[in-house]
Amino acid sequence: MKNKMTRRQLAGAILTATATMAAQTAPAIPANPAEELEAARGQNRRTSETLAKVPLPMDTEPAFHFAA
Amino acid sequence: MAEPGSEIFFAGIAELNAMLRAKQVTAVELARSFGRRLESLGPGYNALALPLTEHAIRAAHAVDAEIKRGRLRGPLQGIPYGAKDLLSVAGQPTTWGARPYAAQVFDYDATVVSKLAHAGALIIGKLAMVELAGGPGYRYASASLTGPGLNPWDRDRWSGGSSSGSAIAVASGLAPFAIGSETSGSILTPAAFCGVTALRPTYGLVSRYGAMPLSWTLDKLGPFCRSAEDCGLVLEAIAGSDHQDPGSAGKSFYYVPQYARKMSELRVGFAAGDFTDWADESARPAFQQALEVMRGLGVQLVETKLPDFPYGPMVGTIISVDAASVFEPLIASGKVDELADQKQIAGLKAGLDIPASVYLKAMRIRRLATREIFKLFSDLDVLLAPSRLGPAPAIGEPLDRHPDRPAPLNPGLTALIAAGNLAGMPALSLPCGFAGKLPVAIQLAGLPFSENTLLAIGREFQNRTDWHKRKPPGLG
Repeated sequence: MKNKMTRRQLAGAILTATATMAAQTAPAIPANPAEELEAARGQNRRTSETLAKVPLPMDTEPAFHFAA
Repeated sequence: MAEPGSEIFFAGIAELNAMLRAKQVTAVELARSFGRRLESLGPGYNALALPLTEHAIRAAHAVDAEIKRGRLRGPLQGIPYGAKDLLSVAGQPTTWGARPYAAQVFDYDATVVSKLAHAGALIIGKLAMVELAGGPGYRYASASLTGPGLNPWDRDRWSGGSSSGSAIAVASGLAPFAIGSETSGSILTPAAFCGVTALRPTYGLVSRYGAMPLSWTLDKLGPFCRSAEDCGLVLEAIAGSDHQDPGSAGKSFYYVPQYARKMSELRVGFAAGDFTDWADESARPAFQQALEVMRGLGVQLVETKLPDFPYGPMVGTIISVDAASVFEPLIASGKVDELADQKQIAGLKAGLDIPASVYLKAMRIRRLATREIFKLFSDLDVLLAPSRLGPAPAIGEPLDRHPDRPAPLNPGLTALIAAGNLAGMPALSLPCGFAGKLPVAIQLAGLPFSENTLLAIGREFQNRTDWHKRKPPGLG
């Protein structure tokens, strides 16, 4: 089954996701390893939220090889 | 025969090869001269991981004997070079720039090292790098077993990374060429900051067997050289199919400048805002001048921009998960805490927690993004953008802080490093001037396996400019 999406819908959704990401300001530099680990996990959470906002047709397979 | 003079240190490959064939210099003399220079000056820039001068001199004796017998192998025969310390050389330490691996020794050569030996090139040293090639990210230039790479143009500035020593060595005339690696920016960034020409090949064109893995679908090896011409010569020697690299594209590369297309036939996509609104103010005059030189070549400059995708989060997720998997034993052993950079330590640990669903989402968006990027090339031959938007940052400056100014609305091609790596595209970085006393550079990126087109434009650009021939103060 194909989950169709117009280029306009795709561009709109992605623009929203990237704009949200750009609006985030960098947090202060962590003071110790525990804070650093929490900051890294926080960064991963924000990243996954950004990726989650990108709509994908169901038949889009992961990119594992490249060809000319 | 007298010892060669200092003019050899900034000579190109063809020039050195001609001197060898004319018997104006021997391979032993080249190995000794460059090896000694690398040993004496390299540590002052934190560029040297391991000297291999004696190793090179032994190999050079055999090369001289071959030349004497008339057995000529090609342009790299008798040419010294340095290799990033993530490439294994049998029986020698390969530290990956990281304290936990300081005593690591492999009993085989990386394919790139074997291929260069077969071409008659002489390895004079292993070159310093950011620990674990930067892993999932680092905050400070000091993230290296050998200390921060110091920029030959200003030691208070960073060399760029993670192929720090490779860029420093070529910029400083410590080696005629060097091999580095890029997962996302590790060739283009130090090349731009140090003012040398460098090529990131198409994913899969150069075997990574014997190189430290960081991210299986992103890692690439490529040359740092004095010119685009030299990049073509080195790439021809190191490219090729290798069954020991699962990512190998099974293709060779032949450098064929004689078949270059006319410049007037080439359509070059660029985003004007990259060179003005996005670029650091100090670099704008150099970037504007570079655009004018490009126009002067006769190419057709066409305004374009990358399709809108979250390139940074995609590449960040893929590298984080791959790196955490590669270095899981390091993390489990606790030795990860011996790394120099706290951000990298935390990033490796946190990478283990990223769900498979997030990784696969990044890889699926990657496929979509790659398809959309490639559509740009139905109307274009190459993309042109600043390699980096400004000159090298100061040593000690946090690298993950961004300029405190509003981002322009049009992203143009500013994400080209991440996008180009995600799509497996080749890119060529060309020095294009200075911001104050620091070099800046432009990049040309194209479809997979379009290296000859990038090199043809690069060669024409360098026929009209001399930025690639400039020498850092005190090193000429």
